[in-house]
Amino acid sequence: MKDLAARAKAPCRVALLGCGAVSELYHAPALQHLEAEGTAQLAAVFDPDAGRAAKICAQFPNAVACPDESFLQKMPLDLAIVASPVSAHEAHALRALEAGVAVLCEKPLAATTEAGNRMIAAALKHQRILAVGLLRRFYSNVQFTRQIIQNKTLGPVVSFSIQEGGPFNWPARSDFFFRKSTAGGGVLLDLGVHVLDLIVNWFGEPEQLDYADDAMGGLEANCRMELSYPAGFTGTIQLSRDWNTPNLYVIEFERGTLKLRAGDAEKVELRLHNSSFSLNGPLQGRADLHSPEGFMSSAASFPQAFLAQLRDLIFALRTGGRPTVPAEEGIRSLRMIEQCYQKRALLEMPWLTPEERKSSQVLAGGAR
Amino acid sequence: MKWAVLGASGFVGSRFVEKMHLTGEASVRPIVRGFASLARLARFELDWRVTDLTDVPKLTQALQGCDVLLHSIVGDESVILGSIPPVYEAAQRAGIRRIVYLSSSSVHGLAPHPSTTEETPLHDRQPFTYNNAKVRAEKLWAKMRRTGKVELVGLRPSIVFGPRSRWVSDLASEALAGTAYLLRGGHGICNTIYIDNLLQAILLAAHAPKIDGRYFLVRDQEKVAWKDFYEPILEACGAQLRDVHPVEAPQFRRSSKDRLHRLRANPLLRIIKPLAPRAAIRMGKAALEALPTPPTPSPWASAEKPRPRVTAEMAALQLCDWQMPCTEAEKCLGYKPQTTFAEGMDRSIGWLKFAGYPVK
Repeated sequence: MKDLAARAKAPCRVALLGCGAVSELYHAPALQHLEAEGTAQLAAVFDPDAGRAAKICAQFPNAVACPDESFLQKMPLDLAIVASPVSAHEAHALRALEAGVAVLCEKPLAATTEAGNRMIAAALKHQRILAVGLLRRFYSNVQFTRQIIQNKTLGPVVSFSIQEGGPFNWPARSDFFFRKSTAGGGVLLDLGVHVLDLIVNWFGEPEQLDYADDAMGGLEANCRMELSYPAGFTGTIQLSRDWNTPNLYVIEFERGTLKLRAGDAEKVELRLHNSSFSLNGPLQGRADLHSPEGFMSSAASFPQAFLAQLRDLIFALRTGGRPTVPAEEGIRSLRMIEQCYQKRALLEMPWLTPEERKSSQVLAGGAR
Repeated sequence: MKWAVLGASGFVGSRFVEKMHLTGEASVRPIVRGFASLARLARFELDWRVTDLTDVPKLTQALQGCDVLLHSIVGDESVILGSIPPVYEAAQRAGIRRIVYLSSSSVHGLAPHPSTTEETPLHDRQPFTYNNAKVRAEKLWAKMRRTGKVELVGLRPSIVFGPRSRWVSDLASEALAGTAYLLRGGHGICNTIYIDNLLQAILLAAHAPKIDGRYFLVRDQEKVAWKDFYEPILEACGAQLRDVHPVEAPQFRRSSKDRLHRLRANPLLRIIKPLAPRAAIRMGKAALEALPTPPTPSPWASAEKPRPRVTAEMAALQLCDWQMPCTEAEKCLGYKPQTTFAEGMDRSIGWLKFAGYPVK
């Protein structure tokens, strides 16, 4: 951190757009930490609900609550964190970029890839950084897994299986997560965007993808995916915000098995096929601090990942480098999500009566 | 007929909403206490409401336009009892005709005396907090009804199983972990009711005439022993009845520490605690800290195989010798279970697969 602090001539002036749960629980505490060490300073806060904005402002001596987004053009700012509902991501990000302010946009980058592409085009046009908040990339076990896959340490990948999710417990402040018009998608878009980002980062794009979910006129609470890859391996993904899954990632390699627990940032379980023992514990060390890609920090927890994400971005701003997760990366998982929704079939729900199944097919509309 | 469903995100409430919405048998308005509870319901496009159940004006607004209210809220005693007066008041203001309240056969105890019927007197000195809360809830509803206009009908199911039932998921988890257990060879009576049969009883309870103020025991048609309930789930999990740990009913004695913690949680003590001198509170805390903690395992102990964790609730349930009657429900509601136990179990196992349990 000394190196970063030395490079920083002045604290990075940050604006926060959207004061929902993610801002209150994660961005604000991370910014407080960076403000205390002199790396960043929260200068402006905006939320259509003035009470929420005031609540966050009260924690920062230099922050002002702004009644609308016009402050982006008027105040000297380095970075805007867009943590508004996904339906507002594009408008907020474009406004900041047009004002010459770099953007960290919460996931998913946008409601559609078209919107995401327009945001990327604006970032290019105005020569400003546009990063996306896919913060699991900063988990040390995620970085370790990528190294194992890329270096073929355990041989080539044979298959993978991912089960993640449980009853929805995010402290939502409104029903925007559950309305088609505001959320744009259910568990696939909300949780899946993290999972698909990881598998794209680890395995690349699949050549074949089958998808089914349980949306019957609304938003899916459960979904399942089957994927196959050009290298010949296959994978399955099950996501839920309805029922507890094992929350387990299992990657089978030719010479061993790697397991990660969803929600854990630093532990792995490693079993070699020629051994009856396995290793299960936290990783030590971290990825190179100054990789060619920029400031690549490894985080050991979810809150640490928020800090790592902001530090990475501030480092990129100071050095003119590239953030670890630029918006182009966010588009890759978003594209996969759109493919899933295009191909969607209705999940088999064996407890439904024949009459209910018939009706569920009708309500599911275009689902096969 | 339009139903307001309180507790719509729970096991019974969410299946009620799902079935009514898919079959069109009734129009439903789910009412939940927090936004996060909408996740499962949001699979459908529904006219839901999110409100604090103790906020009578908001709840009244949420109930406007509904004819019947299903009260299937789960929670601790404070939630169960605390919801009743404001819900009744709001239902009355909103012009609800009848409340169908989901009580429990546990008001009669978990292993009720043979010959128990709806007429058997209830008491709230049972060893289980939940049972006592349900008894007090029935008394509180009756009190509200005496001075109010909204009709009230209650149902007393026992082991409600089906998709998303904890009876099914817990047993599957235990079977997979090798910790499933049965008392007395599983010969005790398991008073099952498949969720769809309960929904049928709920619908009938909303329509049947001359049943205001009454409670009905409801169950499946078949006589089911605990081993009958276990067997299909065990098999789906790759186990068999002979793999299940045979256990005796243990003596459940609360430790001194547990008793003190329960005392601290007592609502009356919470009220008088601020009045107590600080020194007394400090002494109480110190006494609690000084109580012995369970011994740490010996470093010489061998690694143990998975062992069942017998709960007092399950031990009592498996000692049940009485199949609850449902003759009153048949007579007054016209209740006749439509789904057989076997079919209900097949659908439950189908749900386990859906939910990602590694079942056959």
